[in-house]
Amino acid sequence: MEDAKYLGRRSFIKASVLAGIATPTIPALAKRESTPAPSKVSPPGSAAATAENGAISEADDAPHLIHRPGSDFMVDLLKATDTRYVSAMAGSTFRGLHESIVNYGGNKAPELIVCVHEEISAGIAHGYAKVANKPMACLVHSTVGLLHASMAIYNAWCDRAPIMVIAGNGLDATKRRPGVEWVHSAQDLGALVREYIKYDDAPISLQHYAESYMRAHELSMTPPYEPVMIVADSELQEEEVDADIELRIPAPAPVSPPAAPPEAIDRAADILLAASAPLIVADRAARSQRGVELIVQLAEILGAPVIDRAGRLNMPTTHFLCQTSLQNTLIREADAIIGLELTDLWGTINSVPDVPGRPSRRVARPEAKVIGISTGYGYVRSVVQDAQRYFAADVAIAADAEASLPSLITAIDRKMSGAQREAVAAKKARLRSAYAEMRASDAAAAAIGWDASPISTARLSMEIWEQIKDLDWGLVSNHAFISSWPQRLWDFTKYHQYIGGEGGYGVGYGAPAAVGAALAHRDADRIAVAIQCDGDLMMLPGTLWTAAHHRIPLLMVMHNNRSWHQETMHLKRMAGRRDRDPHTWAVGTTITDPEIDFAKIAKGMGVYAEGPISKPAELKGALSRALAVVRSGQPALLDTLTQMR
Amino acid sequence: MRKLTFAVACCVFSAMLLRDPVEARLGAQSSDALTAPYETRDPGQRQYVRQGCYQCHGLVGQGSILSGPSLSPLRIDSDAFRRYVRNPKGAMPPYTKRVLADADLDSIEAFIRSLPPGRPYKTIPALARVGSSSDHAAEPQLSPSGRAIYQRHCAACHGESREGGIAPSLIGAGRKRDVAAIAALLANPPRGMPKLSPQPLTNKDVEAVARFVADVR
Ligand code: HEC
Ligand code: HEC
Repeated sequence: MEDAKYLGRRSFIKASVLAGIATPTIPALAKRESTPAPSKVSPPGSAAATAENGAISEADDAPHLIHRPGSDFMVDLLKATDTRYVSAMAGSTFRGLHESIVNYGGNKAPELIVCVHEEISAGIAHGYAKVANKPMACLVHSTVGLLHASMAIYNAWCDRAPIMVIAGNGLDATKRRPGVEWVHSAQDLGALVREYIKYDDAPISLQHYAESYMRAHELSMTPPYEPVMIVADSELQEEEVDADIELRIPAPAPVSPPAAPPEAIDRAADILLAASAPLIVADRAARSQRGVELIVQLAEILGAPVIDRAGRLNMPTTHFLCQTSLQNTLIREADAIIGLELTDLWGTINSVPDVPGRPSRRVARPEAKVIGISTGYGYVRSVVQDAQRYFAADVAIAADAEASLPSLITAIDRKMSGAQREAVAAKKARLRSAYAEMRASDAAAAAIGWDASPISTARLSMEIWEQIKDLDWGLVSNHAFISSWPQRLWDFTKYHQYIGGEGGYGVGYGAPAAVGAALAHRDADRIAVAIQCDGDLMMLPGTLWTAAHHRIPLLMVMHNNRSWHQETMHLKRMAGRRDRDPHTWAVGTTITDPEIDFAKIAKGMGVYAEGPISKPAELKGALSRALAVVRSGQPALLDTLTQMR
Repeated sequence: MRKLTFAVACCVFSAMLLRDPVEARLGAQSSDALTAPYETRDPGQRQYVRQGCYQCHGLVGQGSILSGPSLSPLRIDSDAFRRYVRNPKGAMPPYTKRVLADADLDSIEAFIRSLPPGRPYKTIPALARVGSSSDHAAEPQLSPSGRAIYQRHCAACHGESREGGIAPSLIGAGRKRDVAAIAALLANPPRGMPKLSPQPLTNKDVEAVARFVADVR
């Protein structure tokens, strides 16, 4: 075996000689002062092979084998943290770890999820984490790979989703081959993404790596959940671990999330109990099914409707206190508002219409009391502006909402008088009928254009719903782009059935996040459905290949409105306000002339596909055929031509 | 005759020569070609598409909570329609006579009014299930609440939350008029507001919606 390898190398050198490349005879290191640096990157040849492997002397008969590479230990850490998947597009700065995952780790837990772009790798990790409730790893090449991934890391950061980014890098400049290895190395790799990851480190020993890796893992899963990054130095990956070094895998020590202190809970409870129209607004409040149950309890004890801002699934849409569609009215009528992990508390209480001058005004009643519970109070970054506008809440609590709800509910229950309980009970009938009217009015709105072609987004949503509602399903795309029809019309009852959106509104999240989420659903034996926007899929169509390659069951139904629809409206507004050409808004905002054939694209990537489908009557059959494919364990795509929103 | 044909041919030919190649290329990305897949032969529909109305209100006027209200059915009269499109109050862009001639606006209005009304949701089984209260733990309602009547009959003009739109805001309307005065106003509406009582609103409905509007909260 070793002989064969040796022969392989020998014949490689021979081939180089034949090709006219000088055979090196002197170790590169010894000559470093006198050898002039090559003026440009040379193709891999014997010189490079020598620089990489050291001198090959005719006398030295034993190949230089690495039996215990450092990257094996890195795989031990992935296993110790129960990391089931590592998404990656191959890159030389992590070739050691890549090889260890496949051979040393047996390519099982973690399994390599092969991607064709690093933004896909990170997007998959983002979607996966929101369903699996734990991070997977995303392995990226130094500089160029990380820069490709950075967009998706930014989305995940805004979305408070954990990702373990492992980035290859070669820190020791004297070990870099000339040319490409220099531009694919960074002195401080974390600097490229540091404003939107929670923690990064570039360890210089394996034990250092282990401890920083464990810390990173725990930080990513301590609210606010966030992406973290460990730089895996190439040398560290590839070098032999000295036999006398004893490496330890640090024990995981999960951190309990920050909960609100008792005096803050008391003040919040007093405000909510004093109110006659309390209101709950939740965005990324629930982190698990338990969080959903707690929000239901809080709503029920207070008789308070809930507006689900849907950063995650916070409130079952079947519950009569889930009144999101009434939000404009509820905000205006409430006399106490509690915001749970809101991205934007100011924007909940106030509004800024898109009219010239952008006048802002308070929408909530002037005397309404406002409570905010969010880990965001203790975690802000300065460069990117995701903090939103400053708002002085009456009670602001820097704590995790899900962790704080039990004590808030207990405090309310303890303080509540008999009369207050009766008042809440007396409100129930009215709240139930408001809910029933809301559902009826959403249903009536959905009926307008029911038979239209291109297909209305309400029809699309309901045709899908009719076919999945009796299965164990999860919606893995942002429903905002289709007028939130699923939220308004489907029965969401479980946390995992909805995962929110991009976080950073970075287009290109949709496809990879859906595939990542579908991967996690597959492990739980659930069917994942994505309503996939055309503009989004055009960013990273290669995601389809990963779905096909890994047999990821995902039903992708296109919301193909052939435009970047939000932008069409912006252009129209600009031209309208300037009293200019009323027709040119389509230039640069529409994806027509030619129209894209997404079914062809999908088929070209090995994904079952049908379309374009523009008649609503054809949906049912197409959906059931596609669903059969998905249930057999494969992805399927339907290109459906839809109305704008 | 032959001379004339020749002259015309020459003109066309030289016009082709004179045409700026850059301009010729830009012409390939014409706005009309971009929206063509969405147009029908109906001249009103074509204007509705080219003027971008459909981007916010949908090709069949179904609207969206994210872009613009439903225009099907159009609940305002021609005067109010024209006034609104020329000088909208919110996020809708204004359309002056310069960019949208009166005649074209009229054909757009005719198109909107020709749109088939939405089917009653109760005739669509999937939607009937969503809308039926029994499925979702809500108790049956004997008569619709003032809020529901407001949403159905007033919100299009006075805003979803009484904040105003093409008609004045009704927030705090109760300070100006009590329930009886609002009911009276409904029976005898001011100019620009349709007469909604005794049809389609019954006296009971009028009382309920007036109560809702008078609520100063
Ligand atoms: C950029 C989006 C946009 C475009 C384009 C647009 N509208 Fe609107 N429209 C709106 C919005 C939003 C409203 C709600 C009130 C507001 O914010 O101005 C509205 C309201 C209206 C109303 C009032 C109806 C009601 O029930 O409240 C009418 C009528 C109307 N639009 C007609 C048109 C017509 C006709 C066109 C094309 C000539 C058009 N709109 C183009 C966004 C748009
Ligand atoms: C088609 C549009 C339209 C509809 C529908 C409509 N209104 Fe009006 N309403 C108006 C207009 C326009 C005015 C202002 C008339 C004027 O200039 O005095 C108005 C005025 C009013 C006023 C007086 C406001 C003031 O500040 O003096 C009240 C109260 C009112 N409407 C209540 C209602 C109620 C209740 C309904 C539903 C049952 C309703 N309106 C439906 C257009 C409408």
